Amino acid sequence: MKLRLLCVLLAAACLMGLAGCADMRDINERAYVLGIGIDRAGNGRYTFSFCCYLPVSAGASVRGSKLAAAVISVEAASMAMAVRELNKSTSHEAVLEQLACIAISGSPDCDELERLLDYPARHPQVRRQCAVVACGCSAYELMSADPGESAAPVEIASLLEQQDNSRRQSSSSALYRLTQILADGSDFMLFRVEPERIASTVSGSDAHDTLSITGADVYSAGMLTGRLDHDETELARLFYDRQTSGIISVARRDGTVIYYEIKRSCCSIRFEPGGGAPRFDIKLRVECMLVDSGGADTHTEDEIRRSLEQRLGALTEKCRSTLGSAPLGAESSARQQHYRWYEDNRADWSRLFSASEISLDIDCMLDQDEALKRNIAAA
Amino acid sequence: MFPAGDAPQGSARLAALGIAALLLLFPLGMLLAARPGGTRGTGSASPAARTGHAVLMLLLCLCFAVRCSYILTLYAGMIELYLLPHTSSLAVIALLLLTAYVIARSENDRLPGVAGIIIMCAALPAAVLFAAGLYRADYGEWLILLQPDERNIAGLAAPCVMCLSGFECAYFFVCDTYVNDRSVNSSRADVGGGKSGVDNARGKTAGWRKAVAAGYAVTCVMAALSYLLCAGILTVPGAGRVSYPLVETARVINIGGVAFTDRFDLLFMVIGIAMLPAHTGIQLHCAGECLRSALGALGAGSGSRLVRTPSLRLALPVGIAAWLGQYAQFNEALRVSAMICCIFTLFAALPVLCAMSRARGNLPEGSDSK
Repeated sequence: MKLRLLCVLLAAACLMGLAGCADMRDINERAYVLGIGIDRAGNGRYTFSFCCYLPVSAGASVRGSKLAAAVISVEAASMAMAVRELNKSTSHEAVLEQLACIAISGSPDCDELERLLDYPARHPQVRRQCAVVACGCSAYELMSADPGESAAPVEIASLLEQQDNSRRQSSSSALYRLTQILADGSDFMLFRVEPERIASTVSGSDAHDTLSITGADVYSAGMLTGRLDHDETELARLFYDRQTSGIISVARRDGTVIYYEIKRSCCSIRFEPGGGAPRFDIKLRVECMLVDSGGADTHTEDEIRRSLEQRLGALTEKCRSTLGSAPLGAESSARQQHYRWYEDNRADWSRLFSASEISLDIDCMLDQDEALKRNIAAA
Repeated sequence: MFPAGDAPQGSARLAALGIAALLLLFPLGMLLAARPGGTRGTGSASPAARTGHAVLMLLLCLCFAVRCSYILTLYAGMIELYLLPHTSSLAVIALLLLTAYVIARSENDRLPGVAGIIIMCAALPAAVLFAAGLYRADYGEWLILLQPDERNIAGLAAPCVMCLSGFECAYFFVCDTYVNDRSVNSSRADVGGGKSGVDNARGKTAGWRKAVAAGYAVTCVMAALSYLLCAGILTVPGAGRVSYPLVETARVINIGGVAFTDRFDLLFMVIGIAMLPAHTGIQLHCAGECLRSALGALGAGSGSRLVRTPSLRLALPVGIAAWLGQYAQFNEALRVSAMICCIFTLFAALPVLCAMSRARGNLPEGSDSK
């Protein structure tokens, strides 16, 4: 009985300690950081633009919410210092639990990226799926964009999450995956997101921004090797297994462009180190559906397949000659299928990939029924 | 029971490999001890065989205690990192130990029941988690596990060893039945249980042993699955790089851009924490049994009677573990060790006081065993 009583008392004491009442901080004293934009400020310093939700004054509300999004800029040498400065300047405690997006302007090299992302990657409260993107405009401008419904970082994150249904490569836009890739020294690519001002009335009084993926920066051997434009980025997604909802365009001979939506794609990459040059056999199966014919007749499956073969062939050639293996996901295939060979040759990976042979085998299926159903529904 | 899915890092890897090396000694020792005239039937065994058995049992006790301590430290660190960043890990460890102790001290009667209930409660969320994880896993990463490279074999093997290290419990309870039965029976006979008391004790112990072995079989299967899941989601090198791969895995599972799994980490953590007291309790009990068997083989006399007190049986191995198990952070280890020793010394003192009180005739016989 005495022992039980002692146990209960000890448990109660422990529970009181666990409650954390000693250092409680009210929600009104916190700044919820949704996004961080990073611009170079010169002399090894950066301008960090924190897009935060701050509590508005009592009784007031912004769009029905008691919180208002604000962008606060802080100049510092590292993100840790910037967060500290933010805490001091706003007298609010910066909470990174809701961090949805980190946008980096310019073209940082891998070492710089690793330095900049080290703090959020180590922070236990930061979401591991926080999106990391590059931007052509200034990161402050991107964080300040007003896409309408919610703050820009949240819109960017959902834009990328909608794109991401693959098992491998596209998740490199997530913080956890990117930091792992940087630690491994593998090839990767970063999506570029930019805002565009749209005014639906002549006066522009209800203007808002739309955010879109305009391309991707491709890194290989620790350096930026080039960029993919919007169409190439969309095409490269076909190399990501299990992709859905990407839009591909196929042009007719008369110049009319017809758009197809990818319902499902399946990609398998077989890697053979071989005696001389390594070899990649890429098998791609695409199920697509007509979304916009522009009034023209649709293609046959064979026509779409040939169009895809031509364009994907050009993309793989571009990757082999300049960009590196990231858009194809070739490096992870080589690592998984021939681990020992890869470990022996990883220092020379870029050269080996450039010298490799790539064969494409594409199978295309056009879902006419689905398109017909949509047309009927639209009518 | 998930804790074994969490991979150790750095110096902890070396320690894990050390534990694995120690574990390899047990089959050899058990084979030697099982020879005719060996430890089975300690009454007719040679002094050398008894000593050998005692050393083996002490070694096993040490392994249980180190592992128990490792799991406690691991989970206290996890709770402090993800859930209660402003709360001292000492409070967390104290609460976990207290719960484990309350479960462990009930021994034969309640431990399998408590473990069973927890496993049943965790089955559904665990199934959901594994289904989501397997859907998103890159199975290509598993190919790497089939291609071990001698240069980084330690990096690949250490998490696997930690996954499989629960097997020592099953081994102990399945293979060393005779010694354990004898030990339990003799202790029951000592307190005047008589023939029927011995039979009941034997039946109870056998049932409990099967339950523990089954529990550990589940543990090992779940741990292996957990590791495969982590490797599939975080990649093989990635799983070895993070401190809490299972929690990190839960945090990155994303299906179709839906935030369905966004906070899965909490579910993982809750399951792990719910399993922890039963897991720790089993480890502590195993350590205690080993210690008792070792002291019995050495013929420690009054010492073995003293060690029969459950609390003290638990206090000794945990005290050792507190010093040995906290290899990762030595300074923290000193503080945590001191606290663990204090708590268990406190629990150990109570039954001794009860025994002294009984000797004066204030308490009925056997009241310290429950």
